[in-house]
Amino acid sequence: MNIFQNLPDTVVASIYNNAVAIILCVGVLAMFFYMKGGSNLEKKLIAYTEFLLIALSLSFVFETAAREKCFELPGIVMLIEGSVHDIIMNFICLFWLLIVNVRMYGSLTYISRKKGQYLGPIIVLFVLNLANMVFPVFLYYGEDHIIHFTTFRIVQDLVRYLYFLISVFLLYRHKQQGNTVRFFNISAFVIPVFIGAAVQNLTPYYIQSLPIGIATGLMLLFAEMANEQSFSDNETGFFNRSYLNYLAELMTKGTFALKSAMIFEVEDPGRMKEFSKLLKEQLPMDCEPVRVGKGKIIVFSSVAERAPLHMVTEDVQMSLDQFNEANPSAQIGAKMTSKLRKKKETGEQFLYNMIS
Amino acid sequence: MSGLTVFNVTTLILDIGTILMVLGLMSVTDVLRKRGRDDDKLYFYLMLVAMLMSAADIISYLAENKTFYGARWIETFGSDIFYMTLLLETLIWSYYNLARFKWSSTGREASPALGLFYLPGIVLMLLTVVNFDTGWIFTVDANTKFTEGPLFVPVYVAVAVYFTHGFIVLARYRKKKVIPLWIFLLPFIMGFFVKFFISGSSSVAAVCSAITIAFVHLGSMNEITDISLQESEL
Repeated sequence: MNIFQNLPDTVVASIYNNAVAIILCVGVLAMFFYMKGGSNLEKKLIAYTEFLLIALSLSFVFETAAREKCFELPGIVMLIEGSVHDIIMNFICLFWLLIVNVRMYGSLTYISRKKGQYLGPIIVLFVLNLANMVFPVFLYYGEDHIIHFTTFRIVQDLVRYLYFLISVFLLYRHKQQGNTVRFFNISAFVIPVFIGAAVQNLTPYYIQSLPIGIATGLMLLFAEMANEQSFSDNETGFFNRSYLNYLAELMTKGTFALKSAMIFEVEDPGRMKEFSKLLKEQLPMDCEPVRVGKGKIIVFSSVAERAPLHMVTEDVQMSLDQFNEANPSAQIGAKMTSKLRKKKETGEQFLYNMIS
Repeated sequence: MSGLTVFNVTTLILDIGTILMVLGLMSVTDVLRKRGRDDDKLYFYLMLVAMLMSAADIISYLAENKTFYGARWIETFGSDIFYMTLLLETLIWSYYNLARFKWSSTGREASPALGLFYLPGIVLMLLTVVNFDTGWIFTVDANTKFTEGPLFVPVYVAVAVYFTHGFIVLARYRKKKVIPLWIFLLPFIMGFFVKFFISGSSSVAAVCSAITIAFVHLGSMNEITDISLQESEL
């Protein structure tokens, strides 16, 4: 029994494909809702992208049904729908760039300094898409009562691809500068999206695999985020003891060279949260802070000289002194030392000696 | 691609998409797999079998309604593997939920009675191996037309029983705060709807399996990130 037997096969296939994408989105959104911890900004950005993707999937079904003449609506309605579809797609690209930035810097500070450069093209496209509702820029309503694309629409497609390429380039440059971005495999998102786009455009019947590609990419991003959360200490936001095994594995693979460590011991473990806030402000980006005990944090680093380590511990001591002066009745007592790996010691041995 | 209908293409795309999705899942669960716990190994087998199911579906689709030499053999082989992996997937799903959610919280282990519970599923799986000669589950004629056999319905009954068992264990022993149950029903409802009311495509079984196991992983990770577990670690 086919309950959609009056609908053309392409419409039914579109419903089937987009339903898969929507279910993936709804599942990830539900898991987000129940997830404890994690960067709120990143969670919000991924959640907004999921909502946009659900809207995009519904729009794909609507467009396919309209193209197959399942219903007929006034031209202006079809144009508005087509423009909204393009705006959603553009915003998904923008949100992806924002997600990459948050992964790299932990905030949107970098992108907010270059608003014109990164937001400009999307804003221009947004205005052109709005204008499209009255004047054919990217789409027009043909005499055959379906929407057609103008050649200028290629520019819009190119801008979208450019956003993806820029995100890859920014991450590559960030890593080249010696920064580490753990638990973020950009290919986990980009590859499904490109495969989805390629399949949609290269196979017959215009089967909508792009939403499935994006939904899979977002699901894998969430899984990476959950991986990171499983290694995070909820109270301080630093890594927990489980991360030590992961760190040892990175050393075995040769992707992390452990050469030194800074040890911070807080006298009252109840004040750990406040101390970790002070510490976070002073730590360089390329180090690995791990809470190894109730009142103990070890910051692992690939720096092989004592001077930069001293600078960091002195900065932390200074900000701690300032805090204690400002809060004489609630002072935090902490001891800090630094250690360099000995020449004969392997990274794994050094790690073991630090925590035992 | 000539001669392929829109549903053939959709099926192929979704099967290949499922394989890619599971490969992605394998990559992101690599960290956990190294813990070497029994439930981690079972989760890996769940992913592996979902991929095999998709691959089997692709093989049988390539030969369906075709008349080239060997088409009948290819379709029978693909369908045999498909039904075997479908049964295996639900058996592992049931056992995985016991290991991951029940035994980890109660400290108990597998009992001989459980072996009896899984016996019909294992017997049906073995019957798929001899199905080429017997045709008990399905037959494929010279025109590669698929016809259901007398044991076709029992296979789906077994699949439903083991899936439901795993689902009940998950519902009973999961951490209610971090794993919403209703999202596991969504792929099941979609799968049922597509299989019986829309296209009759078997690809939906592999797609829904992949979605379900992805949700199980995400839910399990939410459990790990729960603060009460972290406190006991320090």
